[in-house]
Parts: sequence; C-alpha cells; structure tokens
Amino acid sequence: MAGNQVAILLISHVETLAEGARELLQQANPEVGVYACGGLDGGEIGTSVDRIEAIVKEIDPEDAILIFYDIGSAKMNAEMVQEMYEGRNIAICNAPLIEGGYVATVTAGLGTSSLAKVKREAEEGYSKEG
Amino acid sequence: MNNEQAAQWMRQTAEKLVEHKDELSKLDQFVGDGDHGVNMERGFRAVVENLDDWKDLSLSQLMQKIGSALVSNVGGAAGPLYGTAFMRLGTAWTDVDQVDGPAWMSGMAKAVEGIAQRGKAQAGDGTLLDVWSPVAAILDENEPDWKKIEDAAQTGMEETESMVVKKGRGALLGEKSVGHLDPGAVSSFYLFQALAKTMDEGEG
Repeated sequence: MAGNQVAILLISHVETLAEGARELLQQANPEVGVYACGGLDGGEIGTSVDRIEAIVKEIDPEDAILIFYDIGSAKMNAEMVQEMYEGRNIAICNAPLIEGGYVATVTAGLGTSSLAKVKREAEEGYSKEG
Repeated sequence: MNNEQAAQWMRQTAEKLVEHKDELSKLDQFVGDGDHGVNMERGFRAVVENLDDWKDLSLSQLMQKIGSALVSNVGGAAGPLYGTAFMRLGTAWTDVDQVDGPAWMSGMAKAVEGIAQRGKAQAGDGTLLDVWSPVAAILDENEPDWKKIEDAAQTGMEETESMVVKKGRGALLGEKSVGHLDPGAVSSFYLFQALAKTMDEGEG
C-alpha cells in the first residue's frame, strides 16, 4: 500500500476476537490496511503495549492509524502507545470495534479521507437501528 | 531507598501478591473480571525475573524498567496504571541516587498524577488511587514514616469498600459495587506494605 492512507488497528483482549474482527472488516475493503492486535503472548487474555507497539512499527510510517479497542486496559494501552509515538499520526476511536471499525474501513477506503474524517464518520456514522 | 532496596521492595511485593493471588482474583469477581490476582502475579514475576539484569541501572532507569515490565505483562487495566506510576517515579528520580524525603514526595505526587491521567479517575472513585493518593498526601520533606504510610494505605484500601465504583468494569454495577473492596486498592496496599517492610529492615 502506498503511504498517506489511514490504517485501521483493532485491539482486543482476545487474539481470535481481534483476528476475526480484522477478517470481517478486511472484507469491506481489501485495499485498506486493517491490523489486528489481540491477547498476550502465549494466547492469554489481556492487552500489551509491546504487542501494540510491534504492529505500529509494521505499519507504513507515512500512514495515519486509527485505533479501535474493546474493554478495560485496551484503551489505556492504546493511549500509552499513542504517547510513545507522538511523531506519528495516531488517533483512538471511541466507537465499537465492529460497527465503528466497519464504517472506518469503508471511509478509509475512499482514499481521500483524512484521519479526522475517518474517526468522525466511525463515531457518528453507525447506528444499531440504522 | 537505594537500588538494592528497590529490588528488595519488588521481591517482597511479588511474594505478597503470590500469597494473596486467590484473594485478589476473588475480589475482582465482584467488581471486575476475576483475574486481578493472576494478572498482578504475572506482572511482578516478570519484574522479579529481570532484577538481576537490572542491578547496575540507576534508580530512575530501574523504575522505568519496572514500569515497562508491568505494562507489558500484567495484561489487565492494572498494567497501564501501575506501569505509568513506576514510569513517573523514574521520571521524577532522574538525578537521584538515593531516594530521600523530598524525592519521595515529588515522585509519589507525579505517580498519583500519572495514575489519575491514565485512568481518568480521581480519589474517591473506588480505585487504586484511593490508596496511592493518601500515601502521597502524607509525604513531606522529612524522611517518610513507614508505619504511617502502611496505615494510610490500609485505611485508603478499607475505604474503597463503602464507595460506589466510578471507573473500570466495577462502574457498571453502580450502587451494587458498595460493600466490596477494590482489588487494585488491595494490591496497592500490599505494595506499600512491602515497601514499609523493606525500608524498616533496611534501617534496622
């Protein structure tokens, strides 16, 4: 993928949950960089700054990153990584992993959407009753 | 406190957490997801396993390493909270070889500020901050009174029993959270109890 895109990073306490969510979102647009970070080493439940950091390093430095999280420590760990990589364009999205992530993937796939726009669309754009 | 005492503090804490692992997880079944004991044991085991490799580091670097190990290994919400606290101690003690009264005061103030920022919480929300905050509040320019610190930590912990939890998964329970000790406050009490014991032994 060329740089200057918005990549989607999904953080969950469970590896298979993050992977499953990634699979679902990737189907919405295979061109968008969708990354999954789930669980701890050894398949245990939890989230880890190290693992999140490793994925951030994998993503093209020119790309912005929009992070989705599930519960508890996932958001705090996402914020820690965001602070560690101040020079990078990283935002944390306060929308549900699946519904919000789906809207974000579609919006990011339009190619011209900024990080702020993708985040806004995801936070405002989904509705359980839609 | 010097580097060796800090390492001893970590060992004593890890011992206490192993001893009380089931109790902490049981408390967490009421107000969380029941894994606080397991998570804390995993985090502090990772710290203790690395202490030998860290023995030549400065106190500031040691605190940073402890913080990183906790963030990476605890796995639950306590990871970033405890991790941030130790990293802030590390930042506060950049030019310090030996932590004395003023350094304890400034370091703990920074740690409390870090926990509050990370957890978007304040004292009274029924979290570990209800132990860290009163401990920080009794520190002044004098050498810490370790008995007083242990007592303040214990009182802070006990007070979380009557609080309505406002942060974390316990917040979903609302009023039903009253009557339960906060697991993070209990593990924090063990941390400060271990600190008091280490420092008393050091002086004796």
